This record gives sequence, structure tokens and C-alpha cells, in this order.
Amino acid sequence: VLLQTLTSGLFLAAIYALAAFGLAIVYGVLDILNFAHGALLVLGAYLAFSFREGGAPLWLAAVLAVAAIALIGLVLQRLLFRRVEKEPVAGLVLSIGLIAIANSVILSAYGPDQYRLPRLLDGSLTIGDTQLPQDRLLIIAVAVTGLGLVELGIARAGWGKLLRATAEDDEAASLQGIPVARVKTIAFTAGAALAAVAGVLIATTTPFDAHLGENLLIKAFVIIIIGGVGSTKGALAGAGILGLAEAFSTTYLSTAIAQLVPLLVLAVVLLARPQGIFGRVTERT
Amino acid sequence: MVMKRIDSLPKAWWPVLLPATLFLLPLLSPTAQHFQWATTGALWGMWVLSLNIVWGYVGQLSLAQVALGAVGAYGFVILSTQHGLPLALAAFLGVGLAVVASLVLSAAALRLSGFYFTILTVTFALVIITVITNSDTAGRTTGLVVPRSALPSISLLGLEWPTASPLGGFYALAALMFVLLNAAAVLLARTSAGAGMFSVRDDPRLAVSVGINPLHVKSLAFVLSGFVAGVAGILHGLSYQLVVPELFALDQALVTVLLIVLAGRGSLYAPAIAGAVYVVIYQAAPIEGNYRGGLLGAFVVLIVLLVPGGIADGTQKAATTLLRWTRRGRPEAQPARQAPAQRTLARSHDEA
Repeated sequence: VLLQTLTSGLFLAAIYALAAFGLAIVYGVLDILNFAHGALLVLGAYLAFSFREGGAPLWLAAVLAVAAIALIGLVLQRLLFRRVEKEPVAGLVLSIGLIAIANSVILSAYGPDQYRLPRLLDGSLTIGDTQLPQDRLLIIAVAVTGLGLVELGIARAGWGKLLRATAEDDEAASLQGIPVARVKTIAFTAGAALAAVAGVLIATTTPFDAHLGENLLIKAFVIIIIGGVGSTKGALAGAGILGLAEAFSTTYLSTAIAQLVPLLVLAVVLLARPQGIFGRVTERT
Repeated sequence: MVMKRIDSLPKAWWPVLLPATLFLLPLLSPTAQHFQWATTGALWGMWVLSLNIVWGYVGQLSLAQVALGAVGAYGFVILSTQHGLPLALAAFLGVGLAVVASLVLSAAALRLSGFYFTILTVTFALVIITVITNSDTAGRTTGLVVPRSALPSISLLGLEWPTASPLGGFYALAALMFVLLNAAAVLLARTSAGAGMFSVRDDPRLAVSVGINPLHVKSLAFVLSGFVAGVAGILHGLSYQLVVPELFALDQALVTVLLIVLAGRGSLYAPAIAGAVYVVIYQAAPIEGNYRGGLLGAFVVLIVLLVPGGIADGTQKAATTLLRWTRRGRPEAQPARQAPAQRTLARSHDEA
């Protein structure tokens, strides 16, 4: 049971990390609290479903869906979010408006029914007398290596430096000759693509409808607060804490309590360390 | 000169009278549908009023106002039907619970800045809804029935309004509550406490430096907005004769945010305009149900990009321009705008 709980905890953590990572990048670099992140995520899952209906194999449908969402992200940033760059609240309101639009599109195109994508792998791995579903293990592996590489890139690579410089202070960055506008567009596009990756992967493990976006969005918010808003490292740590805490409280306590666990964790973090685990103390208001 | 007159209009009784006249409209053509539209407008106007006090007046974007309404509504229903309290007492206690919950939020508002607070309100709302859906007393996801038969009659304009009746009577109750609460909020904006709220919103440091205590100002705003939310929640329950978690879910709070932005956050007209917009988009407009939310979202995107002040500010500016055109026969250069903080401080000096 311990091994099983650990696996499901790590699986939840992987899903949450995928969902929260893009949100953290977008907030860190563009200062936008993107409520539409969950909508992009669930739209990615729906698109993958549609591409598969159209005859594409699962991997191709997934790639197409991610590309389409990245393109939508690019257009949204260029067309809308860039115009309200100096007013974070306007960006937030725009993203709430986009949720309403996305929900209307989803409801009229797909209706309220639940959909799902086929599993990535069918078998399960038997260790001792516990069975661990292989597809979940694969998703954990994909998330850990994928996000690990991105995190390493942000910390070490040249493009990571550009990203961090822009996040730190975009005016100073632009004085150093960093193409700040382009970095921001790329960051938003990457955030959207990450949302779609998360959406597609989740859809292979569980049936989904339009509410999936909202539920994961709230979790992702909690995670980035726990980790420190705008810190990708914090998002990973927060996702790990939340996923494991939820899995263990589901197994050893009850589902009702497990629903409240993220909020308890959040309350503790806010009281003890309001800036989050990896957050910096800033005077931002 | 003209500029000044237009700017001082909100100081007059317009923000109180305009919504009051709006609610008289159904009497011109008293059909069940028109009464229902007016009721819905009043109910959503109250959600927006509650948000306007915390976000528009003191600048704290809270997504928990609708959940505070749930506290009031569930408190009212549980106390009246399961504990046999008289309706008025149950309503009073329900609203009191919402006010207490709102004060808890205000403690957080002082500790957290900007988006941190907003995210906290999202999770606060989620806690409330999670507790409700896991509690047998609160009817889990199926909700609780709210009997309307015990409601009293109101004598108004020489007529008896049986508020238990969905036709007319309940409309009168909802409209009356909205007009009263809206008038209270308009009055508040004109007191020195209201001026203090605006200055805390526009420039907290400057506000402190002239002796305004953000703690007092914000707590007052949260108490009042919790009060309005509690009343709105109870009336929502009475209107549907049922309280269910979906009535108070996060997407309702998001709609409230969209409405207030469209109407003009911080404007004293915002609640009335927002109520009217809600009725038009969600009930009166002849479009398919799925598209209504998207239509509201699209309007908000356009407003944010084109008219950041919303309908209220846009109309006022258009009226100013129009007046200047008619008076002078030609447009003149726009006078330089004062910084917002200076403007509010000037206002508070005027009134002191």
C-alpha cells in the first residue's frame, strides 16, 4: 500500500507540476496571473481528442494539440496581453474573460459530456504484491525528465539567463540589449504549450470535461503560492508537496480530508513563510 | 467648468436614483418575466455591489464574495429550517456569519499584497464550498430546500406585496434590498471613511502619511461587503427556493468580476449597470445558452482594451465630450489629468 500511495502521490505531483510550471513562468516573466491557464490546458485535451477522431495516431494528435495551443498562446499574447503589459490587473481580467470565451467554445463544440484519450501504456508493473500502472509511471518519468531539463535550462543555459533577466527587471534587461518583448512572447507561448502538454497527459489517465481546467487551476495557484509566486523551482517543490500530501491523506485519512489538505498546507505556508519556499521578499504591491 | 460639473455628478443623488428608477420599469409592463428579470438584476447587482466595496473602494480583488454569500445563505437556511429560529433572526445571524467570515479575509488582506490575496480568496472560497459539499447538515451536493411560504408581506406604495409570491412580491423585496444597500454604499463613498478607502486604494503610503489607518478602512470595507454578500446569498437562496453549492461556485465569482469590469470598477453606478448587463446577456438576449458566457467574456476583453474605465467611465467621458461640443461648438484640448491619488486627497480635503 505504501508503494502504491507513493506512486499515486508522485503521479499527482507530476500532473500538478506540469500544470503549475507554465503558470509560474508566465507570472514570473510577464507578471500576469493567468486564470486562462486552466482553460488552455483543457482545450489542449479536447483538441487532442478531436485530432484523434480525425484519424491521427495518439502521439501525432498530442503534438498537433500542443502546437495549436502554443499558437493560440502566441496570438493571445501578441494581440491582447501585450497591450496591457503595464497593468497586471488588466491582464488578470483579460484572462478571466478568456475563460468565459473558452468555456462557451468548448460547450458548443463538445457539449457537457466527458471525454477521454486512450492510455499511453496498458500493462502494470508488479513489485512484490503491489501493481503499479505503467502509464502513470511513464508520466512521472516524462514529467521529471522534461521539467527537470527545462529547469536546468532556465538555471544554466543562455536562454534561461535571458528569461531570468527579464523576470527580474524587464527595463534593466532591455537596457542590456535583451529583446524583452520577444522573450515575453516566447515565455507566454511556452507556458501555453506546457498547459497543453499537461492537459493531454491528464486526459490519457482520466475522463475529463470543461471543469478539469478550473480544478487544476486552483491546485496550480496553491502550488505556486507554496513554492513562491513566479519561481519555477518553487512550482516543482510545491507540486511535490501537494501531490504526496494528497495521496497519503487519501489513503490514510479520507477523501473529504484530502480535499482540504492543499488548503491546510497553504495556510501553514502563508502563516510561516508568506513569500513561499523559494520566493524572494520584494516590495511589489 | 463643464468638466467640473460632470465630475461632481456622482456626488449627487444620481447613483441612488438611477437604479431605483430602473426597478420601477417592470411596473410599466408587469409580466412574470419582467418581474423575474428585475429580480435577477437586483440579485446580481448585489454580488457586484459587494465586490465593488472591496475591489472598487479599497482595491482588494476578492473572489470569495460569492462564497461569503453561501455562508449567509446556508446559515440562514440551516438556522431557520433545522433549528426552528424565526426567519428574521435566522437571516440576521446568517448575515452575521458572512460578516465574520469577511473579517477573517480582511485579516489576510492586510498581511498579503496584490495577487497573493486574490489567490488566497480563491482557496478561501474553495474551503467554504468543500465544507458544504462534505457536510450532511448542508445537504452535500443536493442542497437544501428554502421555503418561501413563511415570508411576510410588505406594504408599499399603498399596495400589499406578498413576498412569498414569485410574482411581484419577491421582486419588490429584492429590488428594495438592492436600492437600500446601494444607497448605503453611495453614502459611504461620500463620507470621510469612503474617501479614506479610495486613498488607500490609490496610494497606500500616501494615505498612511496623511493619517489614514489602512487597518480600520479595510476592515470597515470588508464588514460592509460581507454584509451585502450575506444578504445577496440569502436572497439568491430564497429566489431559487433552494441552496446548492453551484449557486456559489467559483465560476459565479468570475462572472461577478467580469460584470464589474464591464460596468466600471469603483464607479458608484457599477452595481446597477452590472445587474442590467447580466439580465440582458444571460436572460433577455435571444441567443443560445452556451454562447452567453462567451459573449460577456468577449465584451470584457474589448472593454479592457478600449475603455479601461468600463461603461460608467466611458459614458461619463462621452457625455463630457458631447457637452463641450454643444457648448463651445468645437472640441478643446483635453486638460491634463491629475494623478488619481491627488484627486482623492483633494476630494477628502473638500469634505473634511
